[in-house]
Amino acid sequence: MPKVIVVGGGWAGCGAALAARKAGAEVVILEKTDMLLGCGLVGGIMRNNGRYTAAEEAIALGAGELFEIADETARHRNVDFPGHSHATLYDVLKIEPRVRKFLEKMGVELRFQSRAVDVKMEGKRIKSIVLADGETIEGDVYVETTGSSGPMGNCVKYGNGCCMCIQRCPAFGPRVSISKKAGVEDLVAKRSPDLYGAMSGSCKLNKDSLGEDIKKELEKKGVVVIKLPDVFIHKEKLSIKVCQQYALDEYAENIVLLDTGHAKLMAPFFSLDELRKIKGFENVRFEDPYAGSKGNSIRYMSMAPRDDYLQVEGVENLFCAGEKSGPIVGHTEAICTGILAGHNAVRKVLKMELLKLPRELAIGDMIAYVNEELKKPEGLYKRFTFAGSTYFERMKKFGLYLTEKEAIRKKVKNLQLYNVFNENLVTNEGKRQHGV
Amino acid sequence: MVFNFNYRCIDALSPYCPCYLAETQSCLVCSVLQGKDTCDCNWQGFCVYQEYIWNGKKKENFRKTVEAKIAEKKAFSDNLVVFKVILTLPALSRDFSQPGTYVFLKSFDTPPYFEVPICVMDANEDENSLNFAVQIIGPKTKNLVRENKAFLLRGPYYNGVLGLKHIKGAKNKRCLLIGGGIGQASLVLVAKALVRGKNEITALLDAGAIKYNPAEDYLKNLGVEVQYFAKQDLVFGEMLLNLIEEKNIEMIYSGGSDVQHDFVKSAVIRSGRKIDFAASNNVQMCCGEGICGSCVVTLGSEKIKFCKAQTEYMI
Repeated sequence: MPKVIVVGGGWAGCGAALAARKAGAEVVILEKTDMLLGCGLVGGIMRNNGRYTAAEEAIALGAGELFEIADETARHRNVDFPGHSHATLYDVLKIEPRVRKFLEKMGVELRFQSRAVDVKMEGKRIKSIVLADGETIEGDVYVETTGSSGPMGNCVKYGNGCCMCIQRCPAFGPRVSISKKAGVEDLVAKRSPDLYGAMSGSCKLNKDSLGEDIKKELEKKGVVVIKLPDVFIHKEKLSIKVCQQYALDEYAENIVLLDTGHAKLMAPFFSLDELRKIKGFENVRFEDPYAGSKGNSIRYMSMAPRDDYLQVEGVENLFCAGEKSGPIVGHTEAICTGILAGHNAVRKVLKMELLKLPRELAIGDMIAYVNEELKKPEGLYKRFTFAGSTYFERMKKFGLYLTEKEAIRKKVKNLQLYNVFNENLVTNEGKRQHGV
Repeated sequence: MVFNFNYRCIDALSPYCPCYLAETQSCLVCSVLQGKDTCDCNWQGFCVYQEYIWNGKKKENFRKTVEAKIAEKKAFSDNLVVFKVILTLPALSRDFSQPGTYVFLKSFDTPPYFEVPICVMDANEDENSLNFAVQIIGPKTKNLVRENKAFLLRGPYYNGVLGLKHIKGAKNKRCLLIGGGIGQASLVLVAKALVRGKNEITALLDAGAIKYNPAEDYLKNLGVEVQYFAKQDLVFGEMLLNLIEEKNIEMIYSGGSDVQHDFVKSAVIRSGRKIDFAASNNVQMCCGEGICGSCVVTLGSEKIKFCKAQTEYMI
């Protein structure tokens, strides 16, 4: 049985593990912290704008279970907030154990507090992954989903310092770029010629620390928008944000709160002093990052050059997904790329032709488009998401943005890709080779 | 010498980090403090770059030179003198009590290049005193042993032992310490650390060129079983092999020359046992700060500063 090692247990890694397991491989996830989902532990926004299309495509392609878990864990469905329609907000406090149990039931081996720090190479192949304690883990093929944020030195150099975000680098150690250790130089996003990375776009308040009225409204509607007094408007914060889909004036002029279990505040950080001067926020405190007065994590510090199959260029048995695979923003984007990377990893071991998703699908087009844009001189200054900004505009322009489940399913069927990720390639390829 | 390439910085996490190497973009740990754009560090549990920024982009405390008054001085042979010195505050002897601690000593009236790196043989917290054994070799040590009143002492420096984790991590093990010549001075602090770990300790001593075993009484006071060897015993190796078998040895520390280390190492290999191995760091130390370059060893394409790089001998 092919053995797939997934490095990093965030949404992308979970997607990769799911798809690789479905394709019939033995799968191990190496995760440096004590929980799965990475930034997804403080995320929550799904199905807003074009993400709806991508989620439904993934379901039709046969690997939609993680979206279904997010739907089942939703606190609110069909929420509209500035610039965004029909969002689902999953409960960040409930989803991780569900995903963990689901993957365990699928037979994925989960190894926590197992930080990958190096690789052993055999020519252009990775022979094994070296963990921080010196243990080596051998597989046939590897999927890197280590993300692109941190470690804290990057947050110090290009941000406002370590703000104690959910990644908890000081406790669990820093992310290590596996592709770089395999000899492939990282791509690093820019905000100006000498300033790297971009800052996470939202912070979370403890919901119980909000005034009763705001809390009630938030829990009822899922979203609360409060006009900011002029003195507290800092539009310059919009430009440092990763999430260009939330870099709209509304987000500078208002406090936008979403109910994801915490009260998600759609600004990278916020002075607690200023916040507490607003009615209903008098006793408020941060839930993530803990030092949310000061800053947020710096991301897109480590992306791997890859092809549209999501194989890392220059390494024969390494795939990548999520932020590692380019300046793509969001859980939906991470899961979708994860699924393809995990699936193709198994194809690689079985020496099958790798799967490229066609550009008729939003997922396929995004993967190819990001790669094209990244190769342009300005590419490293851009971020892409199904949920807004330039890529969502593109989806609308080219008719990729669909919100009818049946239409999406039909499109996937017409492309002969319905349930493609549900096929056990290992069993079927064995049968094919034996002429069964 | 064959070293394991995985090294840590002995001073990372200490009161002396970040150091001059951070200021000069030559940090052993942090890629950003090596002048690179992004993080790719040899993580040791904290972010050196963050400490550096918080410290106002400059080094932390640097080692101060203090006066060390000579309380006792005794010549045991024509080339061996043992000193006991009393430290002046703020220097505290407890900061000099880790295995592998060494200092730089010189007399008051000599220029800086007379500083000699000397291993701390023992540290006594009650008296705030340190003991040193000095082998008279060249101009610096000849000058040093003439002194009767006080030295100038710079320290503490910590990388005198390689494979430190095997000493600090040893618990309830059967340990063998091998001390040849002046190298045996390093056995005492090693033995103290092993006693704390409730280990069973045997020491093998050879006076060699210094014709006296300065560590013997200290070791016996710590409850260490002391035996003796001669250089030929190591060359032929049988004695060591028998002792490893007989005592079921699990950890060995070799304090002595590189030649001694190599003989001990080959006995370990011949024994076929899995034995943790630590050894005295014999690389030439001159400044102790990673600046002067005298301790640099080129391994492959990498220049390693052995005054800071904590690593181990490969078995």
